[in-house]
Amino acid sequence: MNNTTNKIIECERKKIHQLFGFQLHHKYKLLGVIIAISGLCCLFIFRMSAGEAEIMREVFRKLILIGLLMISISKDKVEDEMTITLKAQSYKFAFICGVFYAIIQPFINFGVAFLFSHEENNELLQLGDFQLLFFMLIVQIMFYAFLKLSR
Amino acid sequence: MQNTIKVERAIKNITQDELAKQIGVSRQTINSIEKGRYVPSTILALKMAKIFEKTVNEIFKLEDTD
Repeated sequence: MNNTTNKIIECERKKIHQLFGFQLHHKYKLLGVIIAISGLCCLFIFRMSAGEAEIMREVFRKLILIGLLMISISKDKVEDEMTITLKAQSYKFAFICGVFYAIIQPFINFGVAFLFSHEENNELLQLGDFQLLFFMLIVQIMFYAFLKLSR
Repeated sequence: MQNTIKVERAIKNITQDELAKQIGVSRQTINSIEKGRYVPSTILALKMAKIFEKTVNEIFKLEDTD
C-alpha cells in the first residue's frame, strides 16, 4: 500500500472513532427526560380524550423516542472509561432483550387474544417499531442505571 | 486482579476523590477499581502508577483465576 492509501485509511479510522464516540452534552439528559415525559403525557391525554388522529399519535410516539434517545446518548456528569464500558454492556443487553422481545411478544399477544378475545380473527400480531424501540431504550437506560448503582 | 491502590492512597494520604480528580475519572470508578469490580485500562493504570511513583506491576497483580 502506498502512502496516500495509508493516509486515507487513517483518516477513515479517525472519522469512525469520532462517530463511535459521539455523545450529547450532559444537559441534554434533562431535556430528554422532559421531552419523553411530555410525549408520554400528551399521548395519555390524547388517548383519554378519544382522539383519533393517527398523525398526532405518531408525533407523540416520536417525541417519546427522541426523548429516550437523548437520555441514552447524553454524557454523565463525569464521563470516564468505566461509564463507557457500562454503557456498552447496557446496549448489548438491550439489543439481546430486544431480539428476544421481538421473537416472543407476538406469540404472547396471540395467546392473550386467543384466551380473552371473543373475536374470531386471532392472527399473530406483529410488533410495531415504536413498541420495540421503546422497549430497547427503556431496557438500556434502566440497565445502565442498575450497573452504575451496583458498582 | 489484585491491587494495592488503597494502601498506596494511604501512604500518599490522598482520598478517592482527590485521586479521581488527578487522573480525570469519577470517584465511583476509583472505588470500583479498588474493590476489584472494574479492571482499568492500560492508560489509567499508568496514570495511577505515575501518581504513586511505582510501576504498574507493583500496584496491580494477576491472580490465579486471571
